Amino acid sequence: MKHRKLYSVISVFILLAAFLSGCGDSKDINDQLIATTIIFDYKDGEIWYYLEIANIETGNNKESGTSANKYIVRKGNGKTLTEVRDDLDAHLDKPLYLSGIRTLIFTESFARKHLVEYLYRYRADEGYRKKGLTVITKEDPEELYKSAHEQNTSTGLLAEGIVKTLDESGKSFLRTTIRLIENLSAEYTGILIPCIGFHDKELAVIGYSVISGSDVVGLLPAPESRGTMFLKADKAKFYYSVPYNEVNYAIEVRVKKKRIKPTYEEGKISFSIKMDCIAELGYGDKKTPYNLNKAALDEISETLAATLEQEISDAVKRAQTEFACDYLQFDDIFRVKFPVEFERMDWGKEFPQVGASVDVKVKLSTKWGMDYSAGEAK
Amino acid sequence: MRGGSLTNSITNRQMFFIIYFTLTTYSTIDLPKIMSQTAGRSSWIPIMAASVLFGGVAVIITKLNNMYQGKVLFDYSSEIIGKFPARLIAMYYMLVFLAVSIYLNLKLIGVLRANFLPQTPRCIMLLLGIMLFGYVAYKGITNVARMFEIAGVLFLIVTVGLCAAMISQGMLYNIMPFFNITETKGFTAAFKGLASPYAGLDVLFVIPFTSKNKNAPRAAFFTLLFIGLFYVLLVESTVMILGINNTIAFNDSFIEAIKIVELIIVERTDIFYLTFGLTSLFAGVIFVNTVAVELACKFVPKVKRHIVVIIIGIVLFILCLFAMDKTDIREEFEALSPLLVLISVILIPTLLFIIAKVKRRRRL
Repeated sequence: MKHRKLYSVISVFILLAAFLSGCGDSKDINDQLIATTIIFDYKDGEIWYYLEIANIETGNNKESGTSANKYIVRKGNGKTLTEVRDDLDAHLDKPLYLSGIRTLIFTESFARKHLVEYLYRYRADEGYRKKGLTVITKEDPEELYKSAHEQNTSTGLLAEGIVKTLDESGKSFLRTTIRLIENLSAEYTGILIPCIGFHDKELAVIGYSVISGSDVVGLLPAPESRGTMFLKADKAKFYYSVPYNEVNYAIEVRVKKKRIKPTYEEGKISFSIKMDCIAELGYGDKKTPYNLNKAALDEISETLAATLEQEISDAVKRAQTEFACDYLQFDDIFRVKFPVEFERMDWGKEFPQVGASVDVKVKLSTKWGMDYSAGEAK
Repeated sequence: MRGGSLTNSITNRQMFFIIYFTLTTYSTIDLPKIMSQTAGRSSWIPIMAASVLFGGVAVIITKLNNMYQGKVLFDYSSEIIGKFPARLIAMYYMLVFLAVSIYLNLKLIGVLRANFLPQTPRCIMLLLGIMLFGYVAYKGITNVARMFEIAGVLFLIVTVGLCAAMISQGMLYNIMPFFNITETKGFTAAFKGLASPYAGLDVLFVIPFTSKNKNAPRAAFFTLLFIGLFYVLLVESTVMILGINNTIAFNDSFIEAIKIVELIIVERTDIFYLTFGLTSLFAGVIFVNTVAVELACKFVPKVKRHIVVIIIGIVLFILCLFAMDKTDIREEFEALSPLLVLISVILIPTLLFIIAKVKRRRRL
């Protein structure tokens, strides 16, 4: 009985102490600077950072909640990344909270010089949110901030939203920063990073920066990237306009199944790309009826399949010739099938010579409720 | 208090959770890193091979316990090899459990400090922890085993659920090919690295078996196979989401992998996991402490149990304070663990089992 009392007292003490220690270690959100975006630029031999910080005090004060001061941008510079951090720390009045950063934005000039170093730093820093995205830009960082803040939003959130929406609509792909770092850490590195910029004064993905090794070797413009997206996006979906009998038909094409198989015979590497697509004929640009019978639909399917095959072949050739960079991740596909051979070869030298055959099958259907058949309403 | 051996009895299901918690405590968080840097994408092979090997050891220990039902190592080893060598072995295990307890206490404090209580002094956390663990150890093995049944199910569901989410969001090519001949040269180092994840089986020596544990050898073997599969799941899901190079780069790769998982409701998946993952670490420390107390009680049967608990607590606290200043305690423990596992988990049980069998045959 005596002991039970003693242990009860000890238990209560432990519980109280545990709760008290929790209070002691707590940190009020208002006592931290919540970073939402960071942009790095490299100009005149110096690294410039532009840090976007959420202005929480504005949120507390309803009367002063204007868009312009919802975010504060702090900029500074240094010769090295450590100098940049020192400069930043020297100007902070509260500790910095980095887990709120949604997107890392690098200007092309910064990416050319410091991409690898910064991303390794990002990996080593526990404070960063590892799910964040990385994009590249050719624009002036201050213009990017100005554009986003005019829309009353964070630049990082805006960039993330644009890239995620494209991915969800099947027109692009999504890669977290940690996945980029994995590619950068591998023996062979070929990456595509979305490049954002102004399109009709609005922020958009204007293309994809090609990273070979640790350098930016070029830009694949978004309008020319359809074939590449068929290879890279998880659920690629695009609209095509196919002419047939003086009518242009709008057709939605989705990838149903994608198989890329490598072969390695007598020192020659080849890839067989097979794709099964589902196409849905939406509408034409002329008045109905279109009188489309099965033969007509088959012909449209073949035209579409040929177009897709050509686009995908061109995408592979462009990666091999224009950029000499395997951002299509054929290296991973080959490594999985031929791990020993892959370890022995220099993929950077092999990739421009690899062969690729493309075979696309399209299954075309028409939308219900519209008259595309021979005189009969569906 | 309940000093009798039979009051410490457990069921086979409780044994499953005791083995599961004690083994997984050691290195759930850094196992993917250790395996990836030694055996690469072929890690599952040494993991499963080790689980079969240690499954065999678990069978030996449980068979020994079944041969001497109602008794523990301290009692039956005197019958097998004589009183003095038996005392030496018991003393050796006592020291091993104390060393493991120090390591786990410091590891627990490290996790608490890094994720929950950055400003709380370590010695305060240590003091509170040791008091709590001492109280649980005072309650005896049966009560601890009952607690493990509940906590174990929760921990298992959360960890396997998160691993499933990681697999669904990871990339299959990161873990392929499943076998690469060039990675076999790292298997020896991988087996060394697996010493810690499979250490702890020797806690079974302090649990007296009863007629309830007739099928314990089979249950123990399948428990080890299950743990092997659990480890494979941890490693593969981490590599799938992080990639092999990132897995090697991060010290606590499993936690880093969890941070990347997107769940519908939970934004801080790492904190969500740690809330349950800490139960594993707590459970491991609690059980090793309990085992040390049980052994100590055997050495001094006339001293009351709560006095033993207090003395062990004070010793542990002082040793932990000394170890706290050593920055490389983790590396030192990991370097020493293959030897400890070889002696404590493989050599001593096997030798005792062989001698016991030979003696029984002679008697017949």
